[in-house]
Amino acid sequence: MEFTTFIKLFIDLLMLAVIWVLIYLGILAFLPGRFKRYFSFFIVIICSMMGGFISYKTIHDGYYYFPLGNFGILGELDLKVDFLSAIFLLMINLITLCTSLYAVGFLKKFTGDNVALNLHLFAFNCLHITMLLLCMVDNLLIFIILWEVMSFASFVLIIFDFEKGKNLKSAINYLLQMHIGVVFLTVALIILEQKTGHITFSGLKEYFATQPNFWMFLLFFLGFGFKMSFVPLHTWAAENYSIAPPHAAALMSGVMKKLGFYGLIRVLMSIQSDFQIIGIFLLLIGLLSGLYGIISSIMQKDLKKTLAYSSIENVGIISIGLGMSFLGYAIKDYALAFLGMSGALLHIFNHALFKSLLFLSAGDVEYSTSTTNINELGGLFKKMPYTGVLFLIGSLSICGLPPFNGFISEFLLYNGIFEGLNATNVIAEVLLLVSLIILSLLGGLSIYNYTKAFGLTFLGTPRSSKVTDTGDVPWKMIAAQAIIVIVIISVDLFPGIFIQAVNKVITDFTHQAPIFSQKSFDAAQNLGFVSLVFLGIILAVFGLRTLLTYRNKSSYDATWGCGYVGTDTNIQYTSNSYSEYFTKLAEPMVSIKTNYHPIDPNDIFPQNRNYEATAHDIIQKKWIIKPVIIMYQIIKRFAVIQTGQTQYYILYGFLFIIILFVLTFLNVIK
Amino acid sequence: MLNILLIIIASIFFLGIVNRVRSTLSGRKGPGLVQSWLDIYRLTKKQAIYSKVSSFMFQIAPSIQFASIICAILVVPFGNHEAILAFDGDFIFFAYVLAVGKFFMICAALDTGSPFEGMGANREALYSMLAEPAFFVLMGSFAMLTGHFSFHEIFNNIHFGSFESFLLGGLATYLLVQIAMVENSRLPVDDPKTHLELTMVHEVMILDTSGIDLAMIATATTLKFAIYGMLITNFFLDPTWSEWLKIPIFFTIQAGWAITVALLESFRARARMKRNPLIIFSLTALSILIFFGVLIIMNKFML
Repeated sequence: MEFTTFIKLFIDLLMLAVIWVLIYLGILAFLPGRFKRYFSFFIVIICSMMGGFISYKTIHDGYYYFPLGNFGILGELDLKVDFLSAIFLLMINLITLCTSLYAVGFLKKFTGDNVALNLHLFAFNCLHITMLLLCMVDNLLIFIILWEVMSFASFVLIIFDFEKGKNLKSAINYLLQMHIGVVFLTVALIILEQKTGHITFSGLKEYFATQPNFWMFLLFFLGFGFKMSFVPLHTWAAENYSIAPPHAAALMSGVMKKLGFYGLIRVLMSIQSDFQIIGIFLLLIGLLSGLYGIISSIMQKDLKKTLAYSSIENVGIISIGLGMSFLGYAIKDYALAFLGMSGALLHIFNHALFKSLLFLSAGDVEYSTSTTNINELGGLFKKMPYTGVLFLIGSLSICGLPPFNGFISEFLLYNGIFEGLNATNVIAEVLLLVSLIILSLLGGLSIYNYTKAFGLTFLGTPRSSKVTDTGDVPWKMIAAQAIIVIVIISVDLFPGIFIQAVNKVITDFTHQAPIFSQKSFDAAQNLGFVSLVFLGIILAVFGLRTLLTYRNKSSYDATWGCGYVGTDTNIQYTSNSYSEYFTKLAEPMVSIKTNYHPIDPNDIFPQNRNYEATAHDIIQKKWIIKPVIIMYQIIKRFAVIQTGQTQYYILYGFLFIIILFVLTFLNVIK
Repeated sequence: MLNILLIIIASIFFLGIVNRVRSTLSGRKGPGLVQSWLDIYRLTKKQAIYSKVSSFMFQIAPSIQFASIICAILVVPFGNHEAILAFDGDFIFFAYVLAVGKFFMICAALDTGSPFEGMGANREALYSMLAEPAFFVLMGSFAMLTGHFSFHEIFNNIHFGSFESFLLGGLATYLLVQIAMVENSRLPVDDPKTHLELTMVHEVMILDTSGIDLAMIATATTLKFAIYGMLITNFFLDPTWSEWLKIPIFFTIQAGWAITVALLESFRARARMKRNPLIIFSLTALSILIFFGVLIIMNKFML
């Protein structure tokens, strides 16, 4: 594309967007406070309908092409939608609709705060629209611009509670890291333009056909990796998810993060060589992210931080799937390639569902008790039964337990591994063995993690007064989560539909024999049936139990405490004590900072004491903060020359001229 | 249907044999063989007492665990008798469906708000999580050896011919026994006969469970033993043998397995809590040994 035409096109687009945004902002600003969130929800519905229509057309016709020339703009910038985009569009629309409905309930408390609300709702709609557009554009430059808008909109969403200085600081950390990612993308773009002259996703194939693949892949990986929060690029994630309002955190963790995968998969689908090294790279970084994510997640005492780190674990699982797939291409084991890819794609969709569900129900807890510290919660199951059940379903699905959706995608990954073990390549086999061990360990650790998160938050007795007088949240918030639960259950009971959709993406890109597609379809179809059987057995057993105990009256008494019947809630297990045993095992990967003054032997009447233990992100501490501090100290030495007095600056200018003069005189500069 | 029937029959006598052997070894007469089931029957008649702290979770958890065990029985084959639910990757389902039961039992323990049960839940969660990889690598190795990945096809295609493969079979049996001991909360990681709450793992989790719920948990334990016994038996069955040979072999192996449990519990002390993760991790190491053994047998990996 010519540069001038591009500029013209860009200005046209910008004008168009500016007009719409102005109309939107005008309406939003002049609406009374209590209608603002409904207006935002209305806009989300309209955009979702448009996005939904496009994905419907794509699924129906297989390909959707929308030239923007209709707006009087040159035809280069077209919306090209294929099956991959359609799936992402559906996912974005579903989760945004639910989170927006949730926001209608959640933001009710904040109707008085007009400035924050206007900004927040605008950013929310903006994020939705940019995410939709991101999945439709083929032009990489527009993609990066939208990517930036997306980062900025999510930044605004995070700082909803901007009056706390700490929040602003960590959100700026997020924005900075996103920009480092964009630098890598821009470099990739420049190289692409240099070598091929195209800067489109479809032009990538041309580049990969002639140039070394791995380095270009690495640039894109680093570019998208910050958003996807792979270890060690994840350090922004935990803090920001915990300060963002729950619907924003759900949207960011559930969907926005996945757009990194959208970009990555588009790049991966164009790759022509270097399969082995890319596969091993993805596999290893996936294993690292998975293990590090879940271990850090167990260490956390904040509910939302637990969820944030567990997102990193799931990103790792998706990456393991992609890595398996490329390993499969490298050793020409197409069953492994196919199953790995379909497991990864399905897990992207599944994770969007259960992670947003979990963030929303953690938001319910925050809404009712105004805290997310697990050590202050407990016994919420009785007070907030709906939220409890929703969180439980989310936990079960994220642990990959039947009969919920996480099991389907993990099953596909396991199946892929077992298929791959039949191959003849020993390196691949050893790698798959390691993945098998870590994947099963991740399954077990997730159970450990989510029994902690669910059990300590919702079960037992309240650990602080914050919990004692709470009730369930407004019905809008519950309804938003219930919609997600319906989709979760439908993925598990009718996995065939979803597997077929995922398989169609892969066959679209790779034109592979449908034999593998049939294989994964059959496996998943079985699971749907088996899950139904399992549900049936549970119902039968519980029904039988109810029937048998119908006559025996049950009674209630105090919990067994070796004869101690006092009601002390402080003797319960806390988040820290639950993870203590595990902490010792995971020693090198965690750092716990404790704050406690031991009793002095001379202290005859000791006062009340507090013990506090907080887990720190070891990568952030050692690899991010430490180098930055060292850099800062080096740079600080140069502060001597910055005196603040005008005379000195004039002197510097004068010295500079003299040096120039001397150097010219000595013929050093010509 | 035969496999379900066999597992149920084996489970009736299993704990009876274990207890009888153990009491004989310690010089007592011991209870009858079906005493454990009489106890279970007695429990179903009893009134349940729930903790005031507990919620609905506490009441539904034992039922879900029991259901998960039944579902696990449905995927375990017997020789060439295919299980009712047999499909590719059914052993993944087997492991995960058992994990569902565990998840709910851990939650039920946390639901009582008791520090003891929190401790037990914590330990149980950790131990079963550490034991997970060993089972997967073991089954993965045999999936690799046979080229199939469902219980039924793996067991039908294992042929222990050479010396190495017998070694492998022995190792696998040892590993399965150890995994079953961990999964059933027996020695060396846990001792069901311990009397101090602080040293319990599984027993402490069900301190507040009573009545029919406790009966279900007890039944689940015996069934779990019988399931693992069935898995061990399958390693030794040839698909060409007739039923009249296979069924006696099944009962012999189940009895042997029960006696092994009793012997282990009579002559072995429980490991210290600190050492338990190490013991369980070593199972994974052993399973990796089996994996490389399979690689060597298949001539993929030269020494």
